[in-house]
Amino acid sequence: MKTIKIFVVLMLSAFVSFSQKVLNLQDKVTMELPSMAKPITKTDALSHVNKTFNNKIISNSLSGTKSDELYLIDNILISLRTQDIQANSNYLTERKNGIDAMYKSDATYKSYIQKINNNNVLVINYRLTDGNEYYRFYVINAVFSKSVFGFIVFNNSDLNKANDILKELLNRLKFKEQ
Amino acid sequence: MNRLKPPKWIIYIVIPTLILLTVVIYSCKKDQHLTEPIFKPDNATEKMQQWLISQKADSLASYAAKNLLNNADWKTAYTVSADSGKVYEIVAIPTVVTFNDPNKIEQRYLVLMEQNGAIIANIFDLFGTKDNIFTYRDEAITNFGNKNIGKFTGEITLSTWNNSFRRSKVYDNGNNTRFTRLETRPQSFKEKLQSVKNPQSTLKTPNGCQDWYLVTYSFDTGEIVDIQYLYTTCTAEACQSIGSRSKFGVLSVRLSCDGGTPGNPTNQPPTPTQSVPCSGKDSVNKQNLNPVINYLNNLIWSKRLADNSVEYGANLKLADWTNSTSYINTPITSGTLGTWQPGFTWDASGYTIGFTHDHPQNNGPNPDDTFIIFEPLFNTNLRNAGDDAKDFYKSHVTVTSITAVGTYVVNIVDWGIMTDIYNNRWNGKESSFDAQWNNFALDFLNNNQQASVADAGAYAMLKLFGNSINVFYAEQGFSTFHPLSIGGQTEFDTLEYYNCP
Repeated sequence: MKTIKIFVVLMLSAFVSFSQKVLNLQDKVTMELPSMAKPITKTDALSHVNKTFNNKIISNSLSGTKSDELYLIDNILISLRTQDIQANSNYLTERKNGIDAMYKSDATYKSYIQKINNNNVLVINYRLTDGNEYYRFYVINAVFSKSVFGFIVFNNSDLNKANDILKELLNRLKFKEQ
Repeated sequence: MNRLKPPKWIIYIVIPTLILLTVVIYSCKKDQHLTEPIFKPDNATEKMQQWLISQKADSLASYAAKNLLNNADWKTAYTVSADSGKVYEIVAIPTVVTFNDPNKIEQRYLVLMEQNGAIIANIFDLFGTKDNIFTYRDEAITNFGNKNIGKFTGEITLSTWNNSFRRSKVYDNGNNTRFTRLETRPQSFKEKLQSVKNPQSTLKTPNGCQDWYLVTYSFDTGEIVDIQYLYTTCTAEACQSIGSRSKFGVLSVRLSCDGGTPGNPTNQPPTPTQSVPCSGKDSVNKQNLNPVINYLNNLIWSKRLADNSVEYGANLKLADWTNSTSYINTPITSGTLGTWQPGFTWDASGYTIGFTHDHPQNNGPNPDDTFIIFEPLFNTNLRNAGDDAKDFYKSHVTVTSITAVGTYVVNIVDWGIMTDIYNNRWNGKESSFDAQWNNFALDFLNNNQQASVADAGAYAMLKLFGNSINVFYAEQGFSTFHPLSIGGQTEFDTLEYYNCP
């Protein structure tokens, strides 16, 4: 059993091998994406979401969200958006506190703030009632002038793969203005 | 007679080449202005954003500044230096207005004009064909005062940066033919105008008030070519004259202010400003100016400043339910971080019509708080008190959430729809209902990165409940409440003050 688990982990790691596709967001941020990340239009993303997740919350959310880039890795959808921002060192903490309060009744909800490569990162994770799941992330550069907001939506069965994608995205995200 | 024939190579090579070249050159020339010019990045974005942020101290301006910060198309920001020495920073504000004439567009720009260290901000709306607007945009903005603007055909409207109409100029092939501005006229003028347009009207201007008109002049002769009575203002409170364009491209102006008496424009269709969100504004403002409510809210705020580890709150009670101003002092109680338990009585100890409490984590109004006000409808005392008492409760009950960003008050407008939602979508299905609300709020935060989590909650409430509820907001430190609405100027939603008459 243990061997199988190790094999699966190795396969997944290989599957989401990064550093083959460099994404340049609005000339402000570079990110490395796995080679199998497929850029898609919003229309195609909506059609994929309807087919794969069949969840109105996810399709409404995608329709109502501004995205600079949308990517599909198998059935995992990634939305990315970068903007200039006027923030201070409390920005993510205040945002986290407010969102934590909104999700006070949701036992699946988790959130954390972390410094990754000098970037300030807030990640929240929650599961919808049908087993589909979200990672939403808010990344701000060290001088609080640029941001990348995004989400990863996936079925709970793809949790390990989604974790790897999130980890690699956040680890390899570089703002041109540090 | 032998005619001189040109050699074959001229017929088969040179002439077709010349024709092809002409076609290519013509195509290039035509395409030159059909697409938006490519903007060269400079520090315009930084300057304009800094200026907008510095305007956020004032309550009304704060919302205008937030909306511009969130919605201006910042990648289009650029700088123009005019011969006059003035420097202009310009950024496009996306709009989604469409006109019956598909060749016409309206393009909106926020413009900061700098001269000798002073900054004046305005909004320019350019109405015309796309190629005309993009060709003459800079000239139209920097030479708005001039009679001629290239060969521009269309209309340029000037408003203050927070959207108060100032004046408008119509151009035909570069020549200014007409200009329009707001003016006041004496009472006698309105009576004369009314007698022509509507002999039955007896509209009088009260003493101390002013009648406002939209007056259009011919540029060449200076004669008035059109005049429309708009409205009457009676106080010095901040008013805005909002310009907008119909699908036919016709400019109209309406009033939006806290005070003032809206007139009865005899030649104007009813404006949507009479709509639902305004109906409860006065009563919410009166309620919050009541000394008891004011005291309770201030006390909750001071307790929260001392200890933000729990929620504090108080029930709003009347001594007499037939007197909606007879508030009695009630104790402030504490809950936990994230919860506060309201109480309800409908007897001589007090008639409860809602509650006020703080959100120490600065989240905004939410469905949980709102649906709590349904529970008293099952209270025996209220049920036995009869329909008048229940109707009174329904029309007066409010939920107040105090945050560091501001104070939000929610009331219910359509009890029928809200009862249906309570019974069929909320009760017993709170998790899935909250999931929708949360996602709307998070999408709003994704799209409006300067927005607060509290505003995101208010937005999600309006998104879920629409006009079935009102959400009123007063910025922290200000006592005037404004109804909030979802803005529709861009592809993605914003949260705005609803413009009440």
